[in-house]
Amino acid sequence: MSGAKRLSWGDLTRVLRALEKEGYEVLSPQKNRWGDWFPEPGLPAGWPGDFQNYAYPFLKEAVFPLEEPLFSSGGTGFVFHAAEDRRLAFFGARPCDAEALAYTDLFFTGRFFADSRYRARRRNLFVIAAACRAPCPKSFCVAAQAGPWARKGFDIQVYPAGGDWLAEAATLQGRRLLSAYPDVRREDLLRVRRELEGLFPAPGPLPRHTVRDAARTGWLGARCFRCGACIWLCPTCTCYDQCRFGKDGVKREQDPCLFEGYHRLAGGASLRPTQPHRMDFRYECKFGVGACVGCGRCSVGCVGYAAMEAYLERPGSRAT
Amino acid sequence: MSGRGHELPESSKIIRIRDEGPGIRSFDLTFSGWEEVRPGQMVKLYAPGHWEFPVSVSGVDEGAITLTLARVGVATTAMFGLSEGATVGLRGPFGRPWPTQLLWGRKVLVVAGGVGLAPTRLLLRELAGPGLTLLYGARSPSLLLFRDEYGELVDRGVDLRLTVDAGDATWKGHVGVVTTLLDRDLVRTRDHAVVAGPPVMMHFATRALVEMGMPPERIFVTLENHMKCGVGLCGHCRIGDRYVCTDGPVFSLAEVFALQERSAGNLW
Amino acid sequence: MCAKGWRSYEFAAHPDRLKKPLIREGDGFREASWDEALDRVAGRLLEIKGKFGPEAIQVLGSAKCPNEDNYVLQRWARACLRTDNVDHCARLCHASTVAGLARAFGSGAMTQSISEIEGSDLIVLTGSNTAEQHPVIASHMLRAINRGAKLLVIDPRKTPMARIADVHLSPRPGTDIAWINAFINVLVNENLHDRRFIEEHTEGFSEMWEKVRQCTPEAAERITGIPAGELAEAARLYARSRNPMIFYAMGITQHVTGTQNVMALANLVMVAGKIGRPSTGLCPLRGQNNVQGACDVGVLPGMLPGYRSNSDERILGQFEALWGVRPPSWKGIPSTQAPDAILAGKVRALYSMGENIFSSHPDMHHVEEALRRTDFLVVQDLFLTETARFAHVVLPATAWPEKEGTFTGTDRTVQRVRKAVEPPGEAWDDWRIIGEVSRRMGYPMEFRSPETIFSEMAKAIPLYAGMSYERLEQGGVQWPCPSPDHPGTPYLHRDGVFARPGGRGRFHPVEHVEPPERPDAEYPFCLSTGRVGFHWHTRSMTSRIGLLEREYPAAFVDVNPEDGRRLGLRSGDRVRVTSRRGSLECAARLTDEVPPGLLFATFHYSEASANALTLNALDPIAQIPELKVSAVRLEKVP
Repeated sequence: MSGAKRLSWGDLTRVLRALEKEGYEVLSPQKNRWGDWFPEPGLPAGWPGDFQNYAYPFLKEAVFPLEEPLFSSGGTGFVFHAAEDRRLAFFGARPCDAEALAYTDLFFTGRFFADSRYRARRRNLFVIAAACRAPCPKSFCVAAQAGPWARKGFDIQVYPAGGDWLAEAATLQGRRLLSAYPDVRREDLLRVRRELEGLFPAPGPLPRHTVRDAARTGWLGARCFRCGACIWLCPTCTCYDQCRFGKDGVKREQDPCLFEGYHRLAGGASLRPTQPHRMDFRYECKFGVGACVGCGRCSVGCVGYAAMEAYLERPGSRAT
Repeated sequence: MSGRGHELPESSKIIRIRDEGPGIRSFDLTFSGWEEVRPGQMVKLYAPGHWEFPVSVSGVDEGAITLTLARVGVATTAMFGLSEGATVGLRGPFGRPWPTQLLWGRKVLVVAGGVGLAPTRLLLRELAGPGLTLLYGARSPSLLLFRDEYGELVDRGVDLRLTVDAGDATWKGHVGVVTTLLDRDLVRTRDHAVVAGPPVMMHFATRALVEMGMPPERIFVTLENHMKCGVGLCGHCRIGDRYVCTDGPVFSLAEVFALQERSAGNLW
Repeated sequence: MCAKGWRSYEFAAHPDRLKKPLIREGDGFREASWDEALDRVAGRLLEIKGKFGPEAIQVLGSAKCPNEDNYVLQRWARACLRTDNVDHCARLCHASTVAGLARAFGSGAMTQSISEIEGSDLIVLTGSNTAEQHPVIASHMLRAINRGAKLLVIDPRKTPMARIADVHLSPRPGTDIAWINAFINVLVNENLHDRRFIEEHTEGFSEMWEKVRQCTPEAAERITGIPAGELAEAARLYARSRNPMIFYAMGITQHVTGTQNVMALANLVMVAGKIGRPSTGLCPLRGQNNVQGACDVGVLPGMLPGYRSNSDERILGQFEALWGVRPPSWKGIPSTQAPDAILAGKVRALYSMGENIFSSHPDMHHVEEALRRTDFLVVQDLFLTETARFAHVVLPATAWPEKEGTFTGTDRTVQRVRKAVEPPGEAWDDWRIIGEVSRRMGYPMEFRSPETIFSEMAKAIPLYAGMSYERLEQGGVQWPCPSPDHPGTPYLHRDGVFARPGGRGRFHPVEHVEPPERPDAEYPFCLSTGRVGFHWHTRSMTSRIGLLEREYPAAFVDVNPEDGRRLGLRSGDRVRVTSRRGSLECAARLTDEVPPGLLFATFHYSEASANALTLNALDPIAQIPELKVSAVRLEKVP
């Protein structure tokens, strides 16, 4: 047995309703009138066949928002601003975002210091990923081993299979919700995975970044217009700055490493004073201690031509 | 350390303020974590109405710590506007401290420049004795920090040598940047070196030490000016795959060279 | 989006937002109710109008406000105040475009659509730092370049686009007519011009050629400093490209010869016949989110909505029927002349909606003096700006996330903007504020909503006639759109039929004229002024956005490293920049972005604004100031 189950659309809806009964607000993908996908409260009428990636990394935002207050002065001491206590069940998370979530879990709770707000929100988040049937614009998730199905970062992952769904669980909570449904043979799950992979172009492996390659970082740096989109849209970017909040508090906000101010030391000197330096810093992170899930959002949002698409197309950047 | 401890500052009162020199001031602050502080570590100081920034601890006493600040920007300027009795925020201590156990009983050469004496002050106290040589330089005589403590250090056997970049009417000592106090004999007869100061000074001092024969793995530096959140999460102090605030701020020069080669950007 | 777009919501929620009307009391302000403030405004304006006449009131609209707000403002000014002193900041940026292209082509707007950029095979940028000031348009250009399009940049500075250009020519500031004429000279002499197009679709060629025949590349080199050979090659590149598009901005328009610069570019485009079809043409890049719209709806002296002259009897009659009052038929003064008019006692009251002229106009000390002397100053804005500090009444208005209306983009696309959040405190929509003032002054306009305002706009402006909110729900529509079933107009002057009466484009003979103030022994540097991509103009919004303010927290002046070495400067050193008008202190930034002899400073920091140094010399036709060339000296501050 594969540990996977077979569900009809009705069964899936029942799983979502069970989550609602447990106090979760269920978010499902809905398209607004301008063709943008948003996670909206409520159960979907059916699976949106043309559903592609959310333009914005909503799953990351659910655990690590763009900005949030940390503390403020109050009375006899400092008042801690906690994360809101809200249970969210995200139905239709993309595999790349689930993989990214697994990375941010490690980053925020599995290293030197844990971030209590991230942890609190993460505990309240139930992720149902949906394997993809078509690549998103400018994505390369297969090469990044984050698609078309996720290996980690989800509670339940569903695969479209004929008119039915195969569902696998990665957590106890997920297994519990799927327990009532019929088992699926391992070969069937593997076959469905292979079919999905067949719908995607065959990838090359991701490159390793070589630091201080002046030709490449110079080329990219000249085409980076410092909009910051690649950071705000990236599901694995985690850097933030702490700054003033109101009159007497501190908040944090996500901080693009492509900005000169990010690298400026007190007194004015900079460790990475030029755009090529900062390109080097970003890609050293993405292909090094950080992570890239190949979702393609940075390339879509980039106002210049310096995001992953540009990086990977640059002659000499293809891995051997 | 996890949970609220590293995420919420505690209220700290300014007990005493001392002017150490033009634009440099020491603040004695109440702090419940005073016993945990090791030499070279830092705390995060919240300047009310502004933000938090990491500062190395320059002194420890019963129930309190001392922070020595140079007025270089908005937050430090705000601190200079505060009086005794005012409330600030503190949390910590954070960071990898000087390797005191390794340096214990050995012949140690401390090279400090300007405000760099502050992060070494606790170390000097712990190691004070005949094996310790302190080379300390500042831009001018008025910028030499903690002058009233030199006597005690010398009494305990510390070989103290001072210099200034530019003297004044009363200065009768050595004139020249602190690297001019270095010579081959001095360096070769020492087991370890500790370097702290402004980036430019650290660059030249470490270079001189290596040239004069001190192996990089025996030289220790502090990269404290890179840090922002102090807990390895905000990303600003990352060099290559290391985070200065949690893997450092103290590093051996050998670690630093290895990092420099394989990381993006400048180091100092 | 650019960085400003990503962070723009942050200023809207800032605690400094004005939440209540303010009335001057002594040196400061006291809060007041809307009733009191509006009664005060209406009362004082009636008083001043009665005593000194409508000519004594100046009204400034906002290129940041939606069309509806601006339309209501100019209707109130003309029908209630009976003044034609109506203007806005286009005076400072593209007034020369409006004047120049109206004369050359019959329509003062970008001739193409942004979506056509990717079909171009040659992008020509002149006087536009596109990557920093129009990054989204630059992204379209980069896509064209990735497809093989070439990039030609003609700009004194080595801007980010210049760095990746195939060809970068660097003329001396203020010498654009010389190189443009030289381009035309090369085209005609080498038979690369479009004879058929010139014959069939234009007039005035021979007059123009009389001036241009001696403008050889060699002559241009003497004036501009561009090597003749490179200049000729660039001209050939333009002529031989199938779909070249020329983009320009402040570097062309903000000169005493701004209108003539624009006409020179129009000459070039017509000589080459590269207009009237997709992915060609002449594209002024308008800078504010709704400066195109503010111009369209008539916030311009002498121009009623839709660019119709207020000296035309027929038009005056049309508006009389629509507004119940005949608009004034005299031509009002442009905003750049308002400070002089105030100091001369001709203008007594100033009503400023969303404008911060203290910081944005040239010759800051002069403007300050005028603001102090104004008998009655009303500022309607989001924050207590530098201009608002001199006001007698300050009225809190809504910001973009709180507004409902339409904006018109640089390629004539009219789009809906929809309210997303409630305004703070008692901030009101601009159109509602004006409507209330107007009612209390005896001219009720009874607009119930932005949609009803737009309906009137569509009636009043033929270019917008076919548009409605219902139609705009489907997406943006580009004017001219004369009827509901008209699809809108992606590119103008189709097939060479120009919008001018008679259908022909007109050549205008123009020749190089030296800028009014050149570097000399006492003031040896040329100062050019402009912006950075992270700040918006006078920083009333962006100084309140943390990440943006952090990028450029303080004033600076760009200095070429050679010049820096000569003066013993390092990046970060404090310097003093002085002109005949004033002086400022800031940090020096050594960069090869400026050539030797040229300094660049921004007007973002009112405490050290480049406008303290600039001179109030105006283009005689468009009244736009010479913001790109002043003479200054540079000294290190010990």
